[in-house]
Amino acid sequence: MADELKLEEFGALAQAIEAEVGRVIVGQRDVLRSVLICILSGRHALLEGVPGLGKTMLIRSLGAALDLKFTRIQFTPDLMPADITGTDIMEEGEDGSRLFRFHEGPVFANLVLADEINRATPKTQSALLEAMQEKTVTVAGRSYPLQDPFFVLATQNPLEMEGTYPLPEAQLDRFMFKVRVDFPRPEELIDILERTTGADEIWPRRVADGAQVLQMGRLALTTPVATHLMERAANLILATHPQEAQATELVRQYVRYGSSPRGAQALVIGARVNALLEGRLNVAWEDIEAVAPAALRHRLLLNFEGLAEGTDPDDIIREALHAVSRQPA
Amino acid sequence: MASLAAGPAGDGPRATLTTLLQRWERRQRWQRTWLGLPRSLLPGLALGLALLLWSRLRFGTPADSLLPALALLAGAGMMLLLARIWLAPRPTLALARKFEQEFGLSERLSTALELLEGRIYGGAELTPLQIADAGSRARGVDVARQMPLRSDRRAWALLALLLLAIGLVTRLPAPSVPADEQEAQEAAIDEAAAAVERISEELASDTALPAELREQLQRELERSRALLGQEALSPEEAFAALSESAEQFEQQALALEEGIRQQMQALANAQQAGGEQLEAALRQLENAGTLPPGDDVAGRLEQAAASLEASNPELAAAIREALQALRDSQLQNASNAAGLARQVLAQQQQQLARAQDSQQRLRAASDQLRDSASQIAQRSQAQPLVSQERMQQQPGSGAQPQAGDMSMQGQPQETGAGQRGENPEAGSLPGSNAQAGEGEDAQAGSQGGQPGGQQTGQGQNTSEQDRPGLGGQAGDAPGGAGMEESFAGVQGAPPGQGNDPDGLGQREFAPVYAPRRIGASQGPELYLENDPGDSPLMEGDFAPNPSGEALVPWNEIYGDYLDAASRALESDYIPLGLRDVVHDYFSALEPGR
Repeated sequence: MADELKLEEFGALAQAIEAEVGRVIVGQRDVLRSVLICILSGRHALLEGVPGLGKTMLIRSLGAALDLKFTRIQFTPDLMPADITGTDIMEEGEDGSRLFRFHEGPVFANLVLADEINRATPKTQSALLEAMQEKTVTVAGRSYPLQDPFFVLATQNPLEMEGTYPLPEAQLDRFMFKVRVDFPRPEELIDILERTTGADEIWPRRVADGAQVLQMGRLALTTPVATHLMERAANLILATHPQEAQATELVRQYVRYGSSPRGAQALVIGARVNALLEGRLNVAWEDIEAVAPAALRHRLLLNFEGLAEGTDPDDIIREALHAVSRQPA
Repeated sequence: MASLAAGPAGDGPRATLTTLLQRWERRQRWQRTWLGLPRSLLPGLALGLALLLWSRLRFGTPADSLLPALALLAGAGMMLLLARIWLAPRPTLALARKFEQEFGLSERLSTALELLEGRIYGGAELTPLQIADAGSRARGVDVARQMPLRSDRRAWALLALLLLAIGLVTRLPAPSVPADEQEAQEAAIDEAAAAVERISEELASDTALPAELREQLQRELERSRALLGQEALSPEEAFAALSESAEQFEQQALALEEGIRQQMQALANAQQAGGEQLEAALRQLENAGTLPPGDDVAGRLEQAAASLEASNPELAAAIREALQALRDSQLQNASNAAGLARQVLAQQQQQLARAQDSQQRLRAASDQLRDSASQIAQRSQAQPLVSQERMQQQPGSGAQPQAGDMSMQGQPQETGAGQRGENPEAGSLPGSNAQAGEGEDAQAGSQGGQPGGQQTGQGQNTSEQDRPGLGGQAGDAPGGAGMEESFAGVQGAPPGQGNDPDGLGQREFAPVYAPRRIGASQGPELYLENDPGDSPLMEGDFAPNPSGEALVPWNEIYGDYLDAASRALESDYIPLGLRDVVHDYFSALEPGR
């Protein structure tokens, strides 16, 4: 805490990170911003998109730019929890004695890429629960703390449903944001082709380290939020609950259960970080509007009608945002 | 950070922000005032224009008298706007939220203010920077560009049009008042002024009236005369002035009448107490040469003189003188003194007679003034009046020859109660027809009235009869006679005569007409509401009754009529000038009165 980060340094580092990752990842600025917010907030992100959109590359680039220890776990149906957390291995010492030594799994890293997380069985998925929430791993009755900073950035494919195990709500709720990775625009696609089909491979340079990331996060979380914005954020969360008075029409029609309080936390924390990344020294309504879809879309539990009609949670969130923004200041 | 929020370091930025916000608020209030000014004036002016048009076209009211009301309406709208804009204080934080939304300041001001107030907390590094940032952003707002003083051109144009229209309307002659009607009104006012002049002259020559009372009445007449002499005097104003004067005269006449009655009583007492005793004593003195010793004539005379000391000192003195002469057995002196007493009594009787004449003249003057007021009201509202008369006409009676007359102007003290007037103008009004035969019956009833009540009844009757519109009541009253006959029957005749149903006389009831339409044939229909608890009024066998007639006792339906009249009086159905007439009419019809 002795070396608190200055505001100017925060801005410079943020710009440098985005610029450096942007050298590798074409477009996807919103995705990068959302992931960066999660990292600076010390929380986890779930990236959803079809294969080949650069999700893994984005996370790897971030790990490189932030000089974080990066591990990648490719989730498959036969992946076992111990494959993630690590396990005790019996070893024989030089004196012939035998003892169990804990061999850390890939979760012991600063930045864990859980690739295609919905392909693993729920049992394996739940192995990540403790790590994500408590930042510790317990094996054979012994807990091992994870390194700080620790982020899980998971990806999943929205199209392939066969052979997948959708994440349970409890685990989804542990991801601060669910980030949608959309198909690049035509000019971005051309840019991607130009950059990735040549002989030279572009790789980001290190622009920050884990300690600086933590400092940035601490500074960002001190961004002040006006009382009425807090009230609006709360109203927004309440508006996603069909039984509440503030609920919108779409919510009443398609939502079975609205966002949890953790969703409200994600909203405000994300807004704080976003404000500072935007160079603003206070949270504004536009910050909440910017982070609301990512913070809430995976926290809305649709009813049968919503699922049957393929209702997009983002539409519901937009309507709720609109309704709350029209409330008197 | 808390120290920054609460300490002196926070006062500067807070004051700066507050000042800025207040300045913006003032600017916005001016903006809203300028924008809303024409809109606030429009409703009042539009209403005023409508009022002006209506008054000009309907009554020909002078524009000058309506312009203040118009200005008041417009001013009320403006005051409402100003009150709404300028008398609505907003807390600083609310102002901050409002303006940061309008100026795109992204919650900077409200956050800074809350940080300064210590309501929220930020990082030690961010807080001062945020406050400074908010201040600099706020100072950078170009208020003149953000809140320009826009004007609503359409509203201004509309306002100009309205003002133009008002200007035109004020310059327009009153088209709804035809020239002949206008002339008739003016003629009526001139006649009224002449009548006032005449009354004033008569009053000046009436020496029997106390000087103070005469002056008071002259002042009242002078006031009316001055008012009637004004140009552009509305008929309503003339009517009001004359009615007021007539009321004054009526009151004074009543007061005078009461005084005369008391004096007459006192005089009769004096005559009985002093005069007769004195005459008896004189006769005894003539016969016996002296007062009989056993007789207490002297004592009675002494007592009579003492009782008259206060009310009639002159007579008391004459009696005492005569008494002294009697005691001294001086017949000649006693006779002289008695003659003096008789002379005193005669003089006082003459004075009383003159006072009675004066009282009658006052009453006549009052009636004349009322008649003049009625003439003015009648000519200013000729059409409604005619319609109303038609409304009140009994079905089938319109073809009857005209028997009654509405006016007894000029001869109130000479005509008996219920006698017909001779004013041909009033009598010729439509709807004043009466059934001659039945009218005579009523008159007969009225003529049988007590002589003692004749004068009073006659005066009241005259004043009622002279009012406009009453001629149209022909056939309404019991007996089917004109209104005046019915009045005479009520007021001049004792119970049991005429067709008074609550009396002891005839039990044959005339058809009772229910006025269904107030304000003439064009006016709205007025339906008398039935009392839900009451059974229908039925008496005897009734044939089908399409014409709406009913043979029911007057006193049973009087209450309904009175209620209907009261409702009509409270509404706008009855013209202002005729309300007293209607009220008096129904009061006079009250059973048992």
